[in-house]
Amino acid sequence: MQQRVVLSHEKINADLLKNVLKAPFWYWAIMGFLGAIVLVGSVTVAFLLNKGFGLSGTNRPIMWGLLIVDFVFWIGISHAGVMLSAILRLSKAEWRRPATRAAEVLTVFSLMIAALHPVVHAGRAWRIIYWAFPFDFSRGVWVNVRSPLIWDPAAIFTYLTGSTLFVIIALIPDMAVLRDRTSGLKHTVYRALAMGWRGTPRQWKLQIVAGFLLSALLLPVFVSVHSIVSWDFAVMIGIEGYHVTIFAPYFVIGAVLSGVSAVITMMILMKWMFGWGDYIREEHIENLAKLLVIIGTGWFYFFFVEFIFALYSLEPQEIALRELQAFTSPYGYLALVFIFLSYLIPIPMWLVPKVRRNLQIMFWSSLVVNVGMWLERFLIIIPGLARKQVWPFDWSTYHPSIVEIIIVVTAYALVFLLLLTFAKLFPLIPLFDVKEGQTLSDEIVIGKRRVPALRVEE
Amino acid sequence: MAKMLGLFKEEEAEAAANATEALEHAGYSNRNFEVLTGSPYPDGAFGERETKHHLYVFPFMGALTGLSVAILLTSATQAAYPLVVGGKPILSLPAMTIISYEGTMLGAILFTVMGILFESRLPNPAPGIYDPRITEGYIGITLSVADDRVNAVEQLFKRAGAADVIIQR
Amino acid sequence: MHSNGHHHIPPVVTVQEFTEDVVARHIAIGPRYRRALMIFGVLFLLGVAAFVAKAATDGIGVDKRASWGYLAAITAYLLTTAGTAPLALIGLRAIKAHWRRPLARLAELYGLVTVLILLLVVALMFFIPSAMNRRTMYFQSDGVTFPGTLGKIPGAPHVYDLVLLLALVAGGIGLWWLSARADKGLIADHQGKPRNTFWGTAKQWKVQQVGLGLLGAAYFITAVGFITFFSIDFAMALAPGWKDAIFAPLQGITGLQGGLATLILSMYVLRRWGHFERYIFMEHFWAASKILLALCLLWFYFSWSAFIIFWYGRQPAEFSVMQLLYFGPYEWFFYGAFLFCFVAPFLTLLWNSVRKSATGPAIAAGMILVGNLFDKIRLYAGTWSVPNDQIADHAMSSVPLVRYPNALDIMMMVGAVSGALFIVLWMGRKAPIVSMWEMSEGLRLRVVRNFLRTRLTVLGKPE
Repeated sequence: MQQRVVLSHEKINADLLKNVLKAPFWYWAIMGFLGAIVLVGSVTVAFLLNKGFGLSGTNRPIMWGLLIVDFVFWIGISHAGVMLSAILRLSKAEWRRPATRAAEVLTVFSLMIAALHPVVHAGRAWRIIYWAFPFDFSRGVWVNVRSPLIWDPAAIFTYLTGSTLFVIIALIPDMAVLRDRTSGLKHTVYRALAMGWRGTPRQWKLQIVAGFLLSALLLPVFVSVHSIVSWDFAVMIGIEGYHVTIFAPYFVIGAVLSGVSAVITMMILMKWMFGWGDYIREEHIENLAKLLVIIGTGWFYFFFVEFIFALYSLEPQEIALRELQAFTSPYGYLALVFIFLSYLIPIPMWLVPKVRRNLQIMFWSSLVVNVGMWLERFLIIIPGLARKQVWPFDWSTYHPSIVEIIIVVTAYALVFLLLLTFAKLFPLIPLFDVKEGQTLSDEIVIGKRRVPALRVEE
Repeated sequence: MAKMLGLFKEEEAEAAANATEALEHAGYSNRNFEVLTGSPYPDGAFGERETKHHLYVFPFMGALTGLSVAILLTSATQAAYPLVVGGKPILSLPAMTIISYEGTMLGAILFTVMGILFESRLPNPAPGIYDPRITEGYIGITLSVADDRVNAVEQLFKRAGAADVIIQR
Repeated sequence: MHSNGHHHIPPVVTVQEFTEDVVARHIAIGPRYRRALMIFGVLFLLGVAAFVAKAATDGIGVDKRASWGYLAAITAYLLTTAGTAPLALIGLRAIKAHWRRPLARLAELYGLVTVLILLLVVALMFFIPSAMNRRTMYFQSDGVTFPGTLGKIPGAPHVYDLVLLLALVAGGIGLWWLSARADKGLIADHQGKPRNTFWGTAKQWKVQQVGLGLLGAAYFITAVGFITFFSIDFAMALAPGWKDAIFAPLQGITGLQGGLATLILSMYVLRRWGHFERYIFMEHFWAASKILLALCLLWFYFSWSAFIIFWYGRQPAEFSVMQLLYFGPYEWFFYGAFLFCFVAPFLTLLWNSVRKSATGPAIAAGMILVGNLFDKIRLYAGTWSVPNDQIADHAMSSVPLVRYPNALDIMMMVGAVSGALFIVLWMGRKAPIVSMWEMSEGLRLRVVRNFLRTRLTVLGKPE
């Protein structure tokens, strides 16, 4: 049920900018804690680069370990932004308004962190530059266009650039608000970022059209990014469980599931941390949960098809791999945990309206989905490598090293740190979007019932 | 000539709409005045002129540029140092398609952003008459007025219910 | 139609005006309608006759499969056009899209075509061997040919496909019946006849709402499930070496695309020749065409995902499959499918001015329906022409030559499509061809009001 809340522009500005203009003590405490983790992580990375990638737990044949699992995971999280911002904007869903910027910013930062993973994973990270960017120096060899490991940087760069520009363009009107409410150096900076915005009808019209146009352009890019990441695995014929045609949409829909779950977690945290009860209401979380039921079920269908088709060819190697993944310790236990956390627990729960409107349950269940999805990526990548054909003498078990674990934890801390930094500099909920929502809301009287309504420009 | 800005409170949007109507009756067309708001209103809510833009040209131009650059890059580099990899042809169309697609989208997005800024007339270092209360919800109506008509327009705003009238000579 | 220079405002119609208009049209059937009904009926009967003639000449049996590929193709075509039309409605009802209302009853009518699909699938089953000792989703083996498999599942694949299809048929009939009974009561009132069961009490409306929701969800899941099973059992499993996990979801996407295209084209016909311009206007086509554009892109995306994996892997078995389905005997059908399922509709729907019209989306929808047919022919005629003795092999030993349709095949295909249209038009006489209760609900939730100096449409959102 929609909840109509009418707030003045002044109140909206005050509420949504209070952390930007004056941050509470707990904010700095959390920043300090996250900063410490990031510092430890940076030192660890420097240590790794200095001593070599042998410090990680990877070894023949499992040459892709936690860093690659985490890379795929963060690419997945980055799909939240376009899903919510673009698709809900194009479908004119009113309940998108408080979620869009947080989702877009999560996209940008998670993409950045994701892109760092293969760089660190390379061992000699400086060589990545020669290898990924198309310039020719003394090596005399250009990039291999035929490799998905080159398609990856092209896609990630495009998506990162597009998402960042999307955030910047949508921030301009809010920069004007900050320009008008600050003084001194802050005012100078925000005035430069506002670029002379005044709020003319032309500027607003272009802002709205820009939202639609950039959404429509980013949507195909968003689909292509995770598809290309999936093709890093799927094009290979040497590893059981990899060479499957369904990987692209399977990865994309899994990414949407984990990304939107992350946005739910983030929005509930925003509501609790910043006291935005008037802006992030139960109806928003409920609608996100309903969306996730559909996405989750779609994901489960793809997962089911992928597993069935692994067995379809009746090849002993493929069947042996699936037995390893599903029934052999430790992967079997992880698989059980994964399927329960990703689907069998949260999705049936979210069918109940009371559960969808309970923020405590939604917070924990959305977190749990991402734990499950992280395990899913682990189970896709590692077991196939552990049983790489056709050299059984090479078969091994993967034990992640402390260095890898620290880097994975650092990635989480870095994303949260960046998000909180953003929250200090810019509003996490778009001010003009919320205000527009109020302008467009109306009411129709049918008999004794007052029905919430929306003014629509045809 | 003087620049004038009539400010109306957020809850008195009707008064602002009446003011624009009064301006039209006074001989000022919707090409003469501009409405400043802190959030988007439906087109035509204050009788302003329809916004015409050519934003849709930019993504097409960008897409073509991006596609050309990507095709050039992928084909020229592979042809320059032809190494057979994985049994695939030197100019592998499916692989080139993927990178060309990304190039196309990147070009379209970059040009679109440039188009948005261009069509919005941003950055604008000299934005003209303005008041910070606009972002607090006030609705501003701004126009250039001949010096001998300043008083008449000021009275028009006040009769319509303006909270404030700013004059810049 | 109003326009204040900024906004296009559709005409305002009261519930009473709408009801009287639609009831009058429903009661008085026009000569064109009767003629169409007769033509489609005759063509359907000719199709049945062609089936009988072909059975007599070519024979029926697993080893006779090669010459019946076009029957399989047209069955798959009906499944992924008429059979999936309700999916578009179910999805739009779930997200409470207000523009779904004029196409609701059309979608429900197309759901009744599942009865014809059932008959066709039963006929096709005589050409499909048991799942024993070959690669299928049932993993059956005598333990020697493929060690470590499930053993024997009685009746696979026929029984399970049939059960799923029966569930689909039940769902399709249920959706129409549940929705139509409210309107049938209204028509009975105007004809002075007694109502049957539906009186319009609050409880009955609630039951209808919940029932349509649950039945819709069930139909959606069953349709996706049946398309998965059908496409694998009746196409992929017949081509040795073809292991393509994305094929079934691709058929699902093709189904969504075909279903929506069917509805858009039908909506256009209803507006143009049924003279429903007052109730079906530009916004319906505009909204539907955006989704159609997205589905065209998805079609390409899923097809490409399969292709790039096969192309990159360069496995001999996969290359044979690519020859059969893309670049070999059926290449012109593939190019036709690619052109009409993706390139042409994409380039058509890319332009906002085209989407903001009734004709543009209808043309794109027509193209997609043509492309879908080409697609089904290359998939089903292609895989059905693989000799049955190769079915359990690891890969195709040779790619079979192209089979073009003969006169009997063409008659069967025309007859099948005509049969589907006959069902839609005939059942369209049992309850109004636009859903009156759903349209009335929409009209009540839509008002046009002044807002400052403009006029806007205000849409109620009771949820």
